[in-house]
Amino acid sequence: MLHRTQKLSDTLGEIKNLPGELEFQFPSLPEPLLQLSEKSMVGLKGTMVSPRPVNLPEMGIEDGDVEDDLDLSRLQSMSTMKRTTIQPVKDVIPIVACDASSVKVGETETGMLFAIRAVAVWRRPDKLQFKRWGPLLFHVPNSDGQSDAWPDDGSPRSFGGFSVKTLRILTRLRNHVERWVQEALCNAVRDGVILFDGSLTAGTPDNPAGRVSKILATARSNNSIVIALSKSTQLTVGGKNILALFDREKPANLIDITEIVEQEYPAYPVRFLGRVGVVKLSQDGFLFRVDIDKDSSEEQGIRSLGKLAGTDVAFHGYPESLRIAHIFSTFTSNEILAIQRFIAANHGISLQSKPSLRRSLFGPFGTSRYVV
Amino acid sequence: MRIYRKEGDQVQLIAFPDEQIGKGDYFLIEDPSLSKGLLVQVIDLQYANIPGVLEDILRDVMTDGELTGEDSDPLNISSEVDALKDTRLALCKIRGTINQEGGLTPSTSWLPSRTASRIKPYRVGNLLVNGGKRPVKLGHTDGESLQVDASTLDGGLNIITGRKGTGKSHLAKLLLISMASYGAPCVVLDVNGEYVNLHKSKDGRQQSIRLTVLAPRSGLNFALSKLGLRTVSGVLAHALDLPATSSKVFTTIWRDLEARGGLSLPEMIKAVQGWNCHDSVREALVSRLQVLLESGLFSDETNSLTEEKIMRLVEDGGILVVNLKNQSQTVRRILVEIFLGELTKILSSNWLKAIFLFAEEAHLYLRETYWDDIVTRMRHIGLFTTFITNQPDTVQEGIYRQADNVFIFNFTNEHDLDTIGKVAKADRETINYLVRGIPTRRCLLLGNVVRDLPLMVDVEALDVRTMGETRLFFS
Repeated sequence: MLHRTQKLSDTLGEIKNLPGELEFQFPSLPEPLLQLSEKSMVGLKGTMVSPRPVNLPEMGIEDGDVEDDLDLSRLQSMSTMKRTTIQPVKDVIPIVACDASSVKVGETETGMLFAIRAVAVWRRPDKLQFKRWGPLLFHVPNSDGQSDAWPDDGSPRSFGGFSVKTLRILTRLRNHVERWVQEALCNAVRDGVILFDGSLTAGTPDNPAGRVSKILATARSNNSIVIALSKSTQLTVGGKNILALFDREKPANLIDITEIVEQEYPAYPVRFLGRVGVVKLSQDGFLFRVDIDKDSSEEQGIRSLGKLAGTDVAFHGYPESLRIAHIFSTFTSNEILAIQRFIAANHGISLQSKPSLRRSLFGPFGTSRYVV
Repeated sequence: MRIYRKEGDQVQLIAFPDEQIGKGDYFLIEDPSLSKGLLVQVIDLQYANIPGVLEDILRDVMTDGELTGEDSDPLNISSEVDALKDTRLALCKIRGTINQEGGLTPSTSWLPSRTASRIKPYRVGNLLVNGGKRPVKLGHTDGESLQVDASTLDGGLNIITGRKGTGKSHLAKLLLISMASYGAPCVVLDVNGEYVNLHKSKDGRQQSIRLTVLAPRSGLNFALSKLGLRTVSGVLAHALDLPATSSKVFTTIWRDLEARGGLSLPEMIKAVQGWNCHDSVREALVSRLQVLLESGLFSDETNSLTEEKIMRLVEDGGILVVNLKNQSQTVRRILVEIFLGELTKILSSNWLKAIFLFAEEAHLYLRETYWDDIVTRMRHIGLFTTFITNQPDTVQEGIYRQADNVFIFNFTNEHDLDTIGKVAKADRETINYLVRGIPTRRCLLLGNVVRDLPLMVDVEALDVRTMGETRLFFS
């Protein structure tokens, strides 16, 4: 019996011996996005910013990260689900992953300050490489009339410290940055596997299906395939999380639940642009929700999962490139402090912590369910 | 720089990477609204405990190996992140308050404003009146020359300590030459023969220093009659451990010989051998007198070293080096006993106002009872001692507590640091933090010489032959 570390080093050793190199040319951040960031920050001079408190328990909190919530209540039997064994294959194919993060940096009198960053990671025969864009800073006003840059129909109701409008703008911004990176990858990579963090569910104003479809089509035109992996999912069967229903002892396999999902949910407005499944990429790995581009062939999807399992999976059955992408996009507390310092130094604002009413009233019990 | 917090007599400052700060530096936390400032000294530097730094470092480590990449960072925020990672936390001891007129008061019962205060480097040299009437250039602190007043070394007890090879003897020689240049009479008990060439420059030229080197069979020659009963009895009792009963018999024989006018060491031995006393007493006395005879210190009693001669050698800035190199411990103890006796006589007679004694590795020749004697009785008659040692635990604890000035070079051993921590002139934390890891020739000054403001100094180089005539293989 091999230990996990032995397996890992063996795999890495074999990967190192693979011939050839993969080089990609990625574009710089789009000028309109930079201008939008710059424009949003204009006018902050002389204002007071309440910096987001940064301490250890809050470390790495990713604001506005929402999981898809699907309840497959009509599903009664596991036997109706199709299971396919995945055969790990070592192959020299480009495997590229991307992720994006946003974080609240502070509050102004009129809105919120956010930072957004995106990362792409790709595997070369002997190592992993990354390209990181950002952070970009945005000031998002809480109410209408503060700026014309943020047209929106949301009401200024409060939700976890964010107004709905602010939250939606933030989600839209982050989605925009993430989709931009995904687009760049799909344009650049040929004959490869492109990994997204999350799902291929689209069809909301903040996440338009048209754009995601276009991204998937670009990948297909380059003979690549998009696979989205979700670390956690709200997919439930009869009230139980779907990930809990599977036998952990089985080897690498995929259970396709696309039909069930499609039967359960209407085709509009939310669209499932991928075949939805639950996947285990290594025998000792965790289960993940997987969305594979629906317009690619089923066979290509299974083959790509096999290549992914044979080439890139290293840690608890999770693709290493996607893991690195997540790690490198996540904001640490130190980075939040650095951004606050940057804003204070470059935008002529003064940082002044706002007293926490909750803390004042409830002392150590004044914790919030929401990011404060 | 910003005030982070205050705990007891410590203030913690946050220093950003572009701000110059080092261990031992002084800063003034000036509160404009109160027109005064808190004088603090940095005793240790640490990395500020910034949340998330561990994650940043772990991520950086990942890029050291099989992961490489590039950042498209249009706002250059990564430089801010790096700056935060290098942000330092300075642990500072409060040393006092600088008032509006620039004077130092020991008051520390107030707090400067955290937000309105200005923190700026402070040159403590200004407070030392840099040198006074008799400046002694000790070296440099922060690139600026540091001079102390020789009078701060007067009337006191000094200790120079540090690991071997860190510069103790060098500083002792600097102080010795400086004191002599102001006319101070100086005596050196030189265990390793290191002071014998102080009158020569490095290139062999003769210096203006008036230096006399004496050693057994080389100028160190005594006569029983000149030393007197008290000194000789002291040598027998304290250096040669003569029992009290035998001492009484010796006193009787001494008086008899003295009355007959035949007081010399050979005559004394003869007299004891023929004296009517118990065999054991006779044996005890003869064996010890034989040791004195064989020491070579009484080879020519007609041309002996007297207190008058010693006085002439040291008065008006003369340096007398008693070379104890290659001597047995017994001979060293005899010599030191004789010299301390002679110096006491000179000072008790008010022939000299004071004598500065430099004692290297005194534990090798100083008997237990002399430690207290030196810091109490002898100090009051004008014998001002500087102990130089690399074994701080060999100096009695009481000496540390009584020391007026302490010069500490590098130490790393916990036990040594604990011992020195007993110095009354500074707190244990200051010594522990500042002394550990300081380079050769850098020294922590404590005591009157720096107005009780601990100060780090790079000791001045000397253009004298600081080593003895050491025979070298690779030369």
